[in-house]
Amino acid sequence: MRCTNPDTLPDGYRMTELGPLPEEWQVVRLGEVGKVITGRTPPTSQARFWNGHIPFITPVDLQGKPIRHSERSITEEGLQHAKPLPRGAVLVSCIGYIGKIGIVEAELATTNQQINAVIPFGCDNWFLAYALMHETDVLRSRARMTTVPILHKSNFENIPIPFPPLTEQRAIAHVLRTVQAAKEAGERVVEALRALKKSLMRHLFTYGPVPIDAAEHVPLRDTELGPLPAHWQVVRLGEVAEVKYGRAKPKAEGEIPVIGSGGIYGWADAPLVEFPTLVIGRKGTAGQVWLVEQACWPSDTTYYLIWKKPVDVWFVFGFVSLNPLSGEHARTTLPSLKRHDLENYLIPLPPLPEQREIARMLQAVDQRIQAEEAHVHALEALFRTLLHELMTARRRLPAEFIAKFASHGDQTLRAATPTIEERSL
Amino acid sequence: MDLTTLENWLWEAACAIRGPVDAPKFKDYILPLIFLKRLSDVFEDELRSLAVEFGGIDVAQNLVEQERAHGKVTLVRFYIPENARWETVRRQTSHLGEYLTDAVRALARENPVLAGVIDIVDFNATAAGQRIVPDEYLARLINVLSRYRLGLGDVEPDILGRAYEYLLRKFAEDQGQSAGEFYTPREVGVLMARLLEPEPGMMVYDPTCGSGGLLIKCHLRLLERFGKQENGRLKLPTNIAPLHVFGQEINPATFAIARMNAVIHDIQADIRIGDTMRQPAFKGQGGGLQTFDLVVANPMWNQKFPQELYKNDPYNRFCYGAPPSSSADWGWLQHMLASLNERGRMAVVLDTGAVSRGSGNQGSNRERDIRKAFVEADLIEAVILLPENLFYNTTAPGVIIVVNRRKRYPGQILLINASQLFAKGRPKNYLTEEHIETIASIYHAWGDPAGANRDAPLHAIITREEAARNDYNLSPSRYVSISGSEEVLPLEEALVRLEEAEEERAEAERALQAVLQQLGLR
Repeated sequence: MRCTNPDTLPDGYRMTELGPLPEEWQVVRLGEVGKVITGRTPPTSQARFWNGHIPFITPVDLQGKPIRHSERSITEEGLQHAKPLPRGAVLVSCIGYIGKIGIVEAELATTNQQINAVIPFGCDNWFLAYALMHETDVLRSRARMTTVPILHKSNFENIPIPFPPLTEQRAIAHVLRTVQAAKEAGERVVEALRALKKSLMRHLFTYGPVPIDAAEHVPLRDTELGPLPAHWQVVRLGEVAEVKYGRAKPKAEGEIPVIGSGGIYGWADAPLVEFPTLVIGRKGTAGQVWLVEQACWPSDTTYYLIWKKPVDVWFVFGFVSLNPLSGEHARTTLPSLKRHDLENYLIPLPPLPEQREIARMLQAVDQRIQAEEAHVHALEALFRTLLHELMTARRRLPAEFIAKFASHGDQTLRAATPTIEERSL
Repeated sequence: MDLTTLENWLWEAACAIRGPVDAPKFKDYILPLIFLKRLSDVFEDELRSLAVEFGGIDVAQNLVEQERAHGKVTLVRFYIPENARWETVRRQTSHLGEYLTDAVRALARENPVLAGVIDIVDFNATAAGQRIVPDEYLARLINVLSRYRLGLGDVEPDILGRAYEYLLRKFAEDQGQSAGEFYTPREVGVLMARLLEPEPGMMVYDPTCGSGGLLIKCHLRLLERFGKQENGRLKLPTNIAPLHVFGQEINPATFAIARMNAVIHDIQADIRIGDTMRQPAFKGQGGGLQTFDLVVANPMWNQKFPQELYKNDPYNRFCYGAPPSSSADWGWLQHMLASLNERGRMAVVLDTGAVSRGSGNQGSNRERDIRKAFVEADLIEAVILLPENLFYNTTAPGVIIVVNRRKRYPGQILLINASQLFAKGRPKNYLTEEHIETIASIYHAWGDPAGANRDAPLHAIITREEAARNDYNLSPSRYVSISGSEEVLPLEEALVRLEEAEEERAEAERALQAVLQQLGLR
């Protein structure tokens, strides 16, 4: 059911302060459906309060996901000086960056004073978390915009929340949680692929493009770069490429990307370089390396490379990403990279066909990562759309679907989707 | 016989049958013949010492033949019939395949305990009407094998294990055909036996026993501790009960080698064939699994099993949860736990990911959850991170997980980072005696006994709370950092993590599709 014309209310809808909502939905104040607890930090001077087994949650831990553990933690003794929270409490950051959301999944947790926790009564905690996520703008608009934005407890308790019947809350939360779970699973695939790429690079830059079980039979020799296949050379970057200074961005704008040490930062009408090269940050993000395959204009905060020997640019890029230049080569008081250091940077140099083979393998992983990232973005967009449509009741869930969430009725559903967490306190 | 001599000898033996036999199968012909030669040479040794005792080789032979005629041979361990004695085999010039097959069958008839062990190879086998190993190749092989005596005073009993390891390493792995066949490096086996420190009479079980190497290391350790020199060899005194060893192995050829190995070491072994996960061979009363004092194992890392296996397990082994399909590591640990009696201990080698996968993920993770349950039940006593490039077929490091039903220090877990304790070798690194001693003494002393590493300790002792705070990551490198270098996952481990993430994603996607369908969006 969709509301196509905002002037006419669909059947069964009424106008509320949150816009048109179904008649059986209420609008409640957050304080009416949950107890709000502002966190507290135990004295940091007392070591015995810290590093225990109780999560101490700060806004960095709020990622819109269930929280089992956090970067910091306190002891039982420290808990005397903090506010204990049960599993299922909904967390919202209310100082600094406003409106980050999380849900406690540990048996017991605490937060610092930047976070307001809501312990819901008579409503579904996941629904509440999503409703607040949907109201991020409202949360921000109610914050006092001092140098550090702050949303006080009383203002927070006054936030209006759309409030469908409990069964529908659960159904909505289930749908959103399922989409989110799919997105989180996709994010973990991306993470795993990134780790795989790193492991693959270490393998390829130690043994060459050989199968794992053949690695131990590759003749190696010790080099300045560690063990390498015996038939590889070790060369200075200056031997295979001329290191050139980039140039100031030309006035005229066009379609050629201007590459600074931080990436593309403008457009030029003519290229400075018309071959695939590496652009390396000289100042600013010194040592940062960009691989540019199309015509480009490296800016005056960078170096670029003119190849003197046939090398595979992807191969060199792969090696440099695994062994960043910012290490000992750029360790100076000024955050700048000297040309001399760059020229002396050592790289392994296999025969060209092997370089290409290695580059091809790394590109294959990169492509897979990009595809997975696109998938995650698509799920994020789906989540955002569904969040908006379900919270504004522009889309209602089918009655027979909702009926499955009548109390205890969701057992079968939960069995089918084990990633869905226990939803009520 | 030193190791180099042994290896050169085996290399020549392999060359003798190269051509008709593929490299990974060399061992299937060479090992049974080495076994036969060993039995024959030992028989000769026994006859000779009987000759000294009774005053003449003819007298000794007569006595043995008389015993045999009465159906009970006690003077020698195995009676070798005339046609199976190496000297006779060696003189044979024609129909060698047929002759050998008959000889080993006759040997098995005389010694029922060797049935299904020595007579598994058909030297006369044909394929498409052609002999697989023609007689002239067999003759060459026998000729090479005749070069060294393998009697009691000539070689250590572990000759078969060593030969197996060499042939597997040298010939099986190049072919990419070694799947399912692994050999735990000797020193790692020795270390595991040092950690478990078997006591007389104990029952020791290896559910994935391969050629029996780990079980034999336990036996050798007992012998080292309690054995007495007798005729230049260590023997257990009669008041010290030997170990009872139990093993199961899925590969028939390897299974046979395990039994030969047990025979050569003269240990009481019950080795069964079969798939331990699907059909565990050792059952106790009431249909459950038999339990043992010790479990020692190196199961295949990250093995893949379908979920049904865990969900429909008739033995109720996986009570801490089903592991993901991408890695059976925690399935194996649960099988082994179910096979431990109420004061049992075990040492298991697994990949490093087994102690770290899933920790730190905010989402749910099955491996982490099972590990958590093990920690909460206070079962894990120690985790030892081994150096990299130690294991056969991978450069990835492994960990030894020690489980103890009756922990010496309840609530504590000892983590040892031995990643730098190795001697550099090519193709493989290895542990020296000293390294083994260092690790074992830290484990037994629950700390650094000599204070040798006071400035840079190799170990940390953590509480269960500390494990919880690290989300049940038990990776020793997390608590004992040795070098400042950044940790890059071994390639195999990175792949397992990817497969696990993909399995979880597939599940999440199925749930999403179901919901979208119900909403009429699909």
